[in-house]
Amino acid sequence: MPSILNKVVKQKSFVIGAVLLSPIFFMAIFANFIAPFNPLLYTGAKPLSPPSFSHIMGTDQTGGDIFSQVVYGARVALYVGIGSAALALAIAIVVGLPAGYFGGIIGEVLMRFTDLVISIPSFVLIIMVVVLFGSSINTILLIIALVSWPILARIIRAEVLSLKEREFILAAKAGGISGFNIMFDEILPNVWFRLTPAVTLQAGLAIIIEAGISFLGLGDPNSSSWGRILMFAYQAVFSGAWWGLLFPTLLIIITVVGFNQIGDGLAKAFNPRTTQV
Amino acid sequence: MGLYRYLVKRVVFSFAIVMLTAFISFLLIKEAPGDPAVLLGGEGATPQYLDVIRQEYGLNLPLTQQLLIYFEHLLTGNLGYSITYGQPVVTVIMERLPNTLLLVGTAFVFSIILGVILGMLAAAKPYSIRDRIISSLSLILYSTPVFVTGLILIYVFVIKVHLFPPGGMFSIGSQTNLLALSASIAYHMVLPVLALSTFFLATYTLLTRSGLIEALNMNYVTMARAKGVSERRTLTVHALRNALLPIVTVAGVQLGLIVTGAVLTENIFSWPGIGTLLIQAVEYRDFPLVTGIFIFTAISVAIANLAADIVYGIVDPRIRSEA
Repeated sequence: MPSILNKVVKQKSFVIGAVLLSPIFFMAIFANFIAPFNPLLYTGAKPLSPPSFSHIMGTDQTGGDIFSQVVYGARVALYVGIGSAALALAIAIVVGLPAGYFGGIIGEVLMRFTDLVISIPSFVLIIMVVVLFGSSINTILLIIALVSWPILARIIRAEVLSLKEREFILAAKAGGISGFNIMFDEILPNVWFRLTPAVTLQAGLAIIIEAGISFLGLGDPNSSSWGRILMFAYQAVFSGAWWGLLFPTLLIIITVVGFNQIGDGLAKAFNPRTTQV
Repeated sequence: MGLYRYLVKRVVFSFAIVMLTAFISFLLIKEAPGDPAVLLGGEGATPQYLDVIRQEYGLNLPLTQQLLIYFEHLLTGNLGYSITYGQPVVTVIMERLPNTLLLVGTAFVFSIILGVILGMLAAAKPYSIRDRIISSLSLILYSTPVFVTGLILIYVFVIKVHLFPPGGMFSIGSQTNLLALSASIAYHMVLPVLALSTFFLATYTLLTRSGLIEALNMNYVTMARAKGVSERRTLTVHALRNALLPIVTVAGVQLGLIVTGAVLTENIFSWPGIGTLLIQAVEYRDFPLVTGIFIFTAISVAIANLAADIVYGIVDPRIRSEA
């Protein structure tokens, strides 16, 4: 185990990702202590005041403190990003592993279903669900997960297909180990290095999608998303208020780049072929 | 024979996509809180009209029969009636479709051409300063949401430098002659096309770069160099051909993302396409229009995918046998 950790820490992209993401995690975890104001309430400040000592990122047109909104926004972003990526991964494992391992009709049916789901215009679907059922952060998270697992499932299946004829799997089969155990104990650990960059990419994409929904005014009204700050900034920017635009933009880019770099680093560390050097 | 079977399979599959989206919207309307008749008619519907809807969709019949009636409506090209526009949903969508296609098509062509050029510039001297600048800029653009790019463009080119209009499709008064109208549309299109292109531009740049770098290490490229083909020709003809295949594949997969980008870009720049129509429909709670746009985009994506599949099937014989 320590050797794996050593390998991970030696990856430059992992370190870059960790440096980028740690302040975001810090903000998300300690939001209650860091944010000086309630992000969703009027703070008594002058609307659209530029950054100052009392409001370091300025205020929006309702007099809300943008710094507090940004801090709580980190919580929303990480919740949606990690939550939907984890859920998508779980579905992808349940579909992709047996599809690759058993093949035949089971594999065919599972993969055709995967192809179908991939072709659904997901953004419009999310908007439709939000309109019909009302908007909540969990609904958005769930729908993003339900439409984004197919890419992960395809990767898992392709890896399983290439692994299942290898000697160590054949040996496990000959040793009488059940198909279930082979899939989870022998095959799955060897799939991770191909899977991690796709999973972290998915986390980043989910954050962007949620921000887009909130930007259109269709987000959860009770949560302070970065997209919501940008929705206000979109109107405020015409009166020259750049601060509502700058800070959430920087944080979205930092978070998404951070996730991608972490995934890249993990993949390189887990990949037996690149770490031997 | 192989190609024919492949084509039939793809057509059946496209049809299945449309059926699945129709099934999803049926399920959502049934499961959503509230009266299904209102969800099928729209919030502005009168009680008399709601009765008509209940009759038309057989809302008092068993669920399976309702589903069949719903499918029958779709198969005859009936996506419902929009109360806010006083027209069938299909008519409302068709009026906006050319505007969306113009925006998306231009952005698509622009990002592919520029992306391949930038990727080639980067791959010609891998790990040089030029390559590093192109690659890292692409990575940042790749992680920037379309709507953020759009907002930045508005701040810089509309508010700071008064170079472009903040939105719309043409100036009032330019409709009188065709030349003035085209010029005005082109002028209004610059920022939305740029905003929509950035993400795809980054993808194509990175794909071309990695594909070319891989191809440049292959034996057939060494062979080309050995027999005296110029470096430029090796890059632009020999290596590029193989590097372009993954771009074609990814371009097909990304159709769904283009829909997302178009919805956001149109709304930022008030471009009168289907994306702005969707958000207007949401604001008016015109449910049949929202559902109609969902099914319509699914059909468009399915058709575009089918077209892409047919092209690959003809270009690359390996794909035929796989399917």
